[in-house]
Amino acid sequence: MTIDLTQFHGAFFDESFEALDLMESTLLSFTVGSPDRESVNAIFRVAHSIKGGGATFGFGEIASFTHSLETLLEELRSERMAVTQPICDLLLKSVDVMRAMLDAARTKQPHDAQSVTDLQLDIERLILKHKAGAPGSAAATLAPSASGAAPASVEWLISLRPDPEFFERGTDPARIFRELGRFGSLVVTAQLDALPSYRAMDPKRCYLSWSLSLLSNAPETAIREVFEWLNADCELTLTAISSPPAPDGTQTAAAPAPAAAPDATAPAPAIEPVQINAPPDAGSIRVGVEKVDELINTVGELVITHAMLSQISLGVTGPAADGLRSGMQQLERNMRQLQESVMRVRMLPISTVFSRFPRMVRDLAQRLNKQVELKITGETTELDKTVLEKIGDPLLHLVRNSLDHGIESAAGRAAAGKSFVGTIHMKASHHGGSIVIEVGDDGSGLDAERIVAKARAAGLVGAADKLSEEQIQELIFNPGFTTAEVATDVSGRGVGMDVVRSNVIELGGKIEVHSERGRGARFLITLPLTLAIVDGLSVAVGDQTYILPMTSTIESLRLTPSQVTTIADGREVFGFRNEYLPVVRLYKFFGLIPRARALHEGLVVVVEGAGRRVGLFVDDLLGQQQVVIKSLETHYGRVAGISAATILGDGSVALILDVADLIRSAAHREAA
Amino acid sequence: MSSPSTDPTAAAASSQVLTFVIGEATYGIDIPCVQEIRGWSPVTRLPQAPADVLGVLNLRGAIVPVLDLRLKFGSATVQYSPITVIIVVSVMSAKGPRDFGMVVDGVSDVIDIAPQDVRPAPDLGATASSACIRGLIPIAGHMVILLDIDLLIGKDFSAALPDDATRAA
Amino acid sequence: MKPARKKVRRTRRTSDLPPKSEVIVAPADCTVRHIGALRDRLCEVSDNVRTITLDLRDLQRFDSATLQLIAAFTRDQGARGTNLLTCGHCAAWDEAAALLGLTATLAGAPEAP
Repeated sequence: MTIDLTQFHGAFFDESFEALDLMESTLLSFTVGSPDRESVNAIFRVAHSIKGGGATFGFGEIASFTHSLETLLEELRSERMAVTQPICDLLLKSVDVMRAMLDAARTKQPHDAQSVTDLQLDIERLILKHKAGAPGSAAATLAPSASGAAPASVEWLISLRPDPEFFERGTDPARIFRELGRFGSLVVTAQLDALPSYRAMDPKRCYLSWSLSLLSNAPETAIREVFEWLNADCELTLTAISSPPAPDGTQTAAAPAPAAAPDATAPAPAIEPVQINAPPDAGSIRVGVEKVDELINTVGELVITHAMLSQISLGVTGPAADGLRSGMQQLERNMRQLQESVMRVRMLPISTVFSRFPRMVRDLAQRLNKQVELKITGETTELDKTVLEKIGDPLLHLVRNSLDHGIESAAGRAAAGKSFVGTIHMKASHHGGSIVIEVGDDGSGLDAERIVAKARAAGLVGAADKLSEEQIQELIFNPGFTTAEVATDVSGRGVGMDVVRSNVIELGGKIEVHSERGRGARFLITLPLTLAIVDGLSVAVGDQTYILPMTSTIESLRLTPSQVTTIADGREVFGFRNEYLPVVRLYKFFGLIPRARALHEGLVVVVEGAGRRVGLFVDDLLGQQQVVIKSLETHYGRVAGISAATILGDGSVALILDVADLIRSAAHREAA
Repeated sequence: MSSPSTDPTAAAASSQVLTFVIGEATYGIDIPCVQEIRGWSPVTRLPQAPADVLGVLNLRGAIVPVLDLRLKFGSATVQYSPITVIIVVSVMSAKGPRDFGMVVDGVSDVIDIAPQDVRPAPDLGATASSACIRGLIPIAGHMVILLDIDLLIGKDFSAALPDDATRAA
Repeated sequence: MKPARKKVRRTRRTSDLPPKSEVIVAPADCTVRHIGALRDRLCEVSDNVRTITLDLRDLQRFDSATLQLIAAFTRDQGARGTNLLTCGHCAAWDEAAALLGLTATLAGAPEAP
């Protein structure tokens, strides 16, 4: 018979992974030689929590490994041992090993136990070596007092008064007391005065409280950390009383927590006041993704219903009309707010993605023998969870590219008069209704000549074609296109920029590149803030209505006949802000019968995509509205030039244009 | 409901079929995949779709393609009026359940059939309908042509998807 | 001759009498999520019962909530003067009881033979 704990495994894993992320980022930010105290403490606490959970849930290997790690960290945080670069590397490796062990435990899969043993041995050797070398160091470890160490003990009086919901939250006092018991000898007294009769009580509520007396030589921080899992859902006081009087009768007065109490253990430094840590995000709750999705779906339906009512209300006349219309406007305002709030529920800061990169850049730069610094800004910028999950891979590829091909070797940089250390920057920010993520470097930039040469060789570009800067840079997004001489195992495995682009497009965004030869290259990814709703411009083409995403729309105009020039093969262009843009007659593209064929009888909407701008010729602009994106691919499939569909206020379906794809397909057809 | 099965105890193996009319012929499809039967409503056209894929409909919030079986099976002219019927069916595909609508002239009946009564389709050559016929069954004096829905959707909608060549720069 | 129907005074059947002793078998899972069943069972026991046996042999999973409930039950039955016996408890139960400082309270119930 065992106390049942499997129901709490999930929380343990989640929290442990988060704690490991914290440990990793803390380690990466260390200034070797003089790391700040609180950081070392933070790392110690991570190891300690995972050890506690590991022991409780029966993950012996995890508990044992983290115990050794904790011992090492104890030496570091009490400053008996210095934090050196090799130790930092060792600790980083420990993070990897712990992640692997937790993963294996969670998925019940095997893992590489040898690497765990090896690393653990390294840690223990390090500790032994250090101890052997340091004269007169006492073993101020957290081994149970049964190990025979004889420093003077302190008596701790602990009172624990849990909230009624204590049991239901998954914490078990028995486990906590068992842990405490490992520090020394523990006497537990339960208070039952608040416990009602068994008939009257709610068996799920906790009515008990406890007072404990612990005789231990462990440091106060270690004892307090046993209660760290409690998440502040109880009242806890911890008071130190000195040990029973020594023969000379001296006694130190009791000091109430959380003030620092003098530690009777000689070699240990003074104890810093440490509070029970409330979790950093006290006041947040974990919510299942399906619940949030359902919420968002419902809001989406609300938008459609509102559109429907809106349309009907336009046609209403009579005394109620004004009231109705102003009511509809109020409703629209309320809805927008609701939408924004709901969208924000699914939004997380991009730091969760960015945070993977410092480690990766460090490791990869080492491997490539390059000196690279990673600068991250705007990491608090938030985006939708789904977008967040899918943007990681494209960003990873861009950064690897920068490291591999962008940043030059130290010699190359010196030759170019640049600093030895190259810089890669990752920036995120909001612009209007979109989020813009930039990955750039101060490396060698795109080599236009090599790109064109490669494109010519691949038959993508004619020998005589003249290409603009933009068009050349566009070429790198072509499938199967790589200019790396040798596909390094880092980035050249045929996973090219075309996959990056298609991933970004799948998220409803676009990617552009700006490069300056010799100075560096920047990739800009623009993504919609939400996947579900888009600001659209509805246009009429023949008897059909299409929706143009506002993010792709630049301007709409009515052309006079004189503004349009027909060139060589029947293609039409018009002047727009210092350039000539081609006209794409949407009715032709979609095989419809338009109301207007003469360009000056319809409207031209200038749109941007695939690195180009074109003018789309339509019959009319119908209005601007938010539309809910509905997938076309669930029941049908992909259609050229169309990204998705939506349901209009009258219940009919309108197709949403994929501007970039439209531009590419139109060009393709013209060429054919 | 007519049941051509001679052995009532073979009911365990029988399946239910929805029969409908296109032109002069009667067709049938398995009931389990029928979602609903609805009247005609205007459909949004899909560009570059084959002639018999009329477009898409809003089916309780989902975007569902609509196929005109009458065009597919060679009716010369078709009309769309309030009494035109759309049968909405659902098939399982690798990506999950996929729904689509089929326009027919009218719906007849739901009948029980016994698998042993189904006769193989004669070789009519490769016509539009023959590719998705799974068999014939005599009901009350005339032939009901049983269709295989999976073959129907597989052919049409995969043809509607453009290949990735159009996505090149 | 027809056998005379003797008029028999209806004696009280055994099921009419209040039980003198009762056995409560704890189910396998008595953790906080499933503790309701045990509590309901405890409440079913009438106040007139003189001896109660708490059988923990089937108990597979328990936690502090279980111990709290049994502690309350033990205390209340003790106050009423009922004879409460427990049997089938294992080392884990005893250890948990000790950790929670409930050994004395639960010991209000002596070992059943």
